[in-house]
Amino acid sequence: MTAILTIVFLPFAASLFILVLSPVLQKVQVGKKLGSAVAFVPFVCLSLIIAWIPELKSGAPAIFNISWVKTYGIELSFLVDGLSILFGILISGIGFFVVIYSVWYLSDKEDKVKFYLYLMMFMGAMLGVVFSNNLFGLFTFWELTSISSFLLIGFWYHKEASRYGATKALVITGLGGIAMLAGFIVLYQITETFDITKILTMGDTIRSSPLYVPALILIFLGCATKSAQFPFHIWLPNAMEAPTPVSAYLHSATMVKAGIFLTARLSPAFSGTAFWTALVAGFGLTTMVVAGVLAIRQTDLKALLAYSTISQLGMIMAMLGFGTQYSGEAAVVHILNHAAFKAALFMVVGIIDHGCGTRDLTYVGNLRKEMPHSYKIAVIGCLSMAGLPIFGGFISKEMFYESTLHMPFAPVPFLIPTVAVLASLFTFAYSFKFLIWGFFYKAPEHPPHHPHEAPMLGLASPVFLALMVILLGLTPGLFSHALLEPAAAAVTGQPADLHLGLWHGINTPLIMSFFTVVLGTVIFMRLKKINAVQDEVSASVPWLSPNFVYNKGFLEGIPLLTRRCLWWFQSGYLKHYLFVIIAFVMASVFMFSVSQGWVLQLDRLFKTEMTLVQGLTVAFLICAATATAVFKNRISAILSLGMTGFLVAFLYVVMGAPDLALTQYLVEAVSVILILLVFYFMPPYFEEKATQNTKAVNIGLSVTVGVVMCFYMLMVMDSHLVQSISQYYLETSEKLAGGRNVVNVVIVDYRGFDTLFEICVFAIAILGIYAMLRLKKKTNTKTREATLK
Amino acid sequence: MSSIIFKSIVKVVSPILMLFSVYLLLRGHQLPGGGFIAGLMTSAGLVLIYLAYGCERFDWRNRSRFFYFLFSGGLALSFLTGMAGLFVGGFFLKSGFTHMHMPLINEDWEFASAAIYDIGVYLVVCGVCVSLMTLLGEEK
Repeated sequence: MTAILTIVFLPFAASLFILVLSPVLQKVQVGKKLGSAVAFVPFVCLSLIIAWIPELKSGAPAIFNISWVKTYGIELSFLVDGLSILFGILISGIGFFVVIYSVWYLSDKEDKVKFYLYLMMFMGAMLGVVFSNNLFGLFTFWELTSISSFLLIGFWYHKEASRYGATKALVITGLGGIAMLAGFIVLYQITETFDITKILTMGDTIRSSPLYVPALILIFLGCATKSAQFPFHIWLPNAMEAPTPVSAYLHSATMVKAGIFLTARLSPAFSGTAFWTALVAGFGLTTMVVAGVLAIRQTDLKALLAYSTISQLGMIMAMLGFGTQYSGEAAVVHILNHAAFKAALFMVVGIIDHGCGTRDLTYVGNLRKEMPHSYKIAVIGCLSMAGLPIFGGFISKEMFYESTLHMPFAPVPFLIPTVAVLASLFTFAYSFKFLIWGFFYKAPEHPPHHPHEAPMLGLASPVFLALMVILLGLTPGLFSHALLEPAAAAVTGQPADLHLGLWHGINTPLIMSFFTVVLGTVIFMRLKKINAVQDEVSASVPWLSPNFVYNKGFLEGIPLLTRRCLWWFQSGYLKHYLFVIIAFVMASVFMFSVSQGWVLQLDRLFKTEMTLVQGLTVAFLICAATATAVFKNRISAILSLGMTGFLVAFLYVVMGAPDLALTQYLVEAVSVILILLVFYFMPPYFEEKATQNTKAVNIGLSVTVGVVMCFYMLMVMDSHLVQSISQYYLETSEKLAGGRNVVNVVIVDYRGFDTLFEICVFAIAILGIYAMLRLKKKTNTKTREATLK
Repeated sequence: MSSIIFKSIVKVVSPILMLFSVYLLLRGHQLPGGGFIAGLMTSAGLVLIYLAYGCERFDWRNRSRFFYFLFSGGLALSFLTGMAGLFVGGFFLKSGFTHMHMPLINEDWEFASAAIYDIGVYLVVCGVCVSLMTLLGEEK
C-alpha cells in the first residue's frame, strides 16, 4: 500500500515541493543541481516498481482502495498487475534517463524550475493512469497528463509555434478525453461499476449489450486522440516544439502510449468481436500506412521521428485490434522495443540540434565523423526501428507479421499481411533516411555552426537506451519472464508463454521481412523523386490534410460561430438580458405547472383571509411598485423601489417571520445606498427613447410575470407533489446540528455547500466590479494622457 | 449628507449597530441572526460612517485592501472549516458541536463548527459590501 502510494504520489510531492520553493529556487542559480536532485524521484519509483516484480509471479494482481466519493462508487483505487508494472517501468525508467539528459540539454538560461515542476507533475499523472483501478481515477490522471503536456509543449511560450502546438494538443486530446468520459458513463450503464478489475471479468455481458458499440466508440475516441491515430494525429508533429527531452519522454515513449495502454487494459472486456477488430485494427493500420507515407517526406529530423512515432503507434494499435493471444503478446513486446529505440533516437536528434544549431536535413548531414558516438547510437536505433536482425525491433516486427497472418475476421485473405508489409516498407525507408541522410550524405547547405559531439552527460542516457535495444534483441529472455509475460497475460486475459528469439527457421514472416528489406531499399533509392511528387500533391490539394480541417474548421470556424452566437445572445443591453431571463423563468414555471396537470382554482383567490394590517401593507406595496415604474426621476424611482422592499419586509413581520424580515430590511438598506452610489454614473432622468413597441413588450412581460406567479402560488398551495422537507429540518436541527435556529442551521450546516458557493459568487462579483471600475479608470487616464500629448 | 445632525447621530448609532451585529452573529445558531444578517448590519454601520464623514476620519481609499483581505479571508475560513470536517469527520463540510461548561458564569455554552463557518460567511458579506462601497465611492 505504502509502496504504490509512494510510486504515484512521490512525483506529485516533488512537483509541489518545487512549486513551494520556486520563489527561492528562481532567485539562486540552480544550475545543474536541481535536475540531479529531481532524478532521484524517478529512480525511487523505478526501484519500487522493480522490487514489486517478484510478487507478480505469485499470481493475483494487487488492488488497493481509498474511498473517495462513496455514493457513486468512485474510489482512488490502484491495481498492480503485469501491464501496469510494464508501463510503470517505462515511465519511471525513461523518466530517469530523460531527467539526466535534460540536465545536459537545458542551458542555465532556461527556467529549469518550471520545467521540472511540469515534468514531475506529468510523471505522477502518467503513473496514476497506469496504476488506476477505477475509471474515474484513471480519467482524472488522464486529463492531468493532457494538461501537463500542454504546459510542456508551451514551455517556450514566447514562440508562436509553441503556443499553436500546445493549444492544438490540448484541444484534440481534451475533446477525446470528453468523449472518453462519456464512454465511461455508457460503460457504467452496462456494468454498474467503475472498478476496472470487475469490468474486466464482465466481458460477455459487455459484448452482448446493445450499448457495447457506443461505449467502445466513445472510449476509443479518447484512446485514438491521445495515441495520435489518423486523423487525430495532427497534434503530435506540432507538439515537437517542446524541448527535446519532453518530446523523447511524453511524445514518443510514454504519454502517447496512454491510449495504447487503455486499449490494452480494456481489451479483455471489449475485444473478440468483429467490430472491435474493424475499429481498432482499422484505425491502427490506416495510421501506420498514412504516417509512414508522411514520414518519408520530412526533412526536419524531429518531425520525421514524430511521424514515425505515429506510424509505430498505429502498428501497436493494429496488433491490439487483432485481438488474438499472439497479437496481444506481440503488442506488449513492441511497446517495450519502441519506447527504448525511439527515446534513444529522440535524444540523438536533441544532440544534433544542440551541436549544429538546427536539425533540418537541408543543413545537417555527413555527421558520422563529427559525432561518432551519436552515430553509433543512431545506427542501433534506426536498424531496430527498421526491423533488422539482432535488434529488438526485428523480433517485434516478425511477431507483427505472424499475427497479421492469423488475424480473425479478415476481410480478404492476404490483404492485411500485404498492408502490413506496405506500411513496413515506409518504416524501413524513413529509418534509413534518418540514418543515411543524417550521417552519410552531404547536406546541400551548411549548418549555422560547426557540428560538435555532446559531452558524457548528454550521451549517457541514449547510450544506455541503445544498450537496452541490443539486449532486447540478443537476450529477450531477460525481459520476457519477469516483465513481458505478466503484461501479455493482463492484455489477453490468459497466461502467456513467450518464446522470443531472432531465429525461428525459414517461415512466412521471415520471407515477408525479406521483401520488406528489398522493396524498402528500392523506395529509399527513389526517395528524392517520391518526395518531389509528395510536395506537389500537398501543394495542389491542401484540403487533403486533417490540419486543414483543424485550422479552418476549428481555429477560424469556431470563433466565427461564437461571434455569430454572441451577436445574438450578448447584445450588451441589460434590458435584453433581463427580458430573456425573466421570460425563460416564466416559461419554465408555466410549462412545469402544465406538465404536472395542476388545475387552477380561482375561487381560492377570493377565499383568502387577510387582516387589516396585511391588506393595508399590500395596498401600499402596490402603490410603491407602481410609483417605481412611473417616476421619471431616478432618485425617486430608487427610493420607491426601496420602499417596496421595506414593505415586503414589513409583511414578513406581520406574518411572523422575524429572520426573513431582518434580512430583508438589511438587504434593502444596504442595497439602496449602494444603488445610489452607482447612480453617480448615470444621467438623473430616464431618457424617453423607448418606442411604443418596446413599451408594449415590457408591459406585456410584467403582466405575464404577475399573472403566472399569482396562479402558480395558488396552485402550489394545493399540490402535494413533493414531500416537504421542513418537518425533517424542524425535528432534527437541534439533535443533529446543535442549533435551534433552523434557518441558520439550514444555511450553515444542512446546505453548507450551497452557502459556500454563494459566498464564492459574492467574491467573484466583487472581483468583477473591481476589474470593471479599475479598468475603466485606467483607460480614462490613458485617453486623458493621449489628449494632453 | 454630512450635516452636523447626521454626523452626531451616526456617532451614536454606528457603534450600537456594529456591536449588535456581533451579537447577532454569535447567537445565530440558536436565535434569529447569523453570518449573513450580521455581515449586512456591520456593513450598514460602516456605510453610515462613510456617508457621514467621507474620508475625513478614516482613509477608505488607501485602506481598501484591508476589505479585500477581509472577504478573501472569510472565504478561506469557510473553506478551511469544510476541510477540517473532511479530516476530522470524514467528509467535506461535516459539522460537529460540543457543549462546554463555562467556569465563571456557570453556564453551559455550545461550540459548533458551523458557527466558525458562519463567521466566514460574515466576513465575506461584510468585506464584499464595504469593498463595493469604497470602489463605487472613490470614483467621485
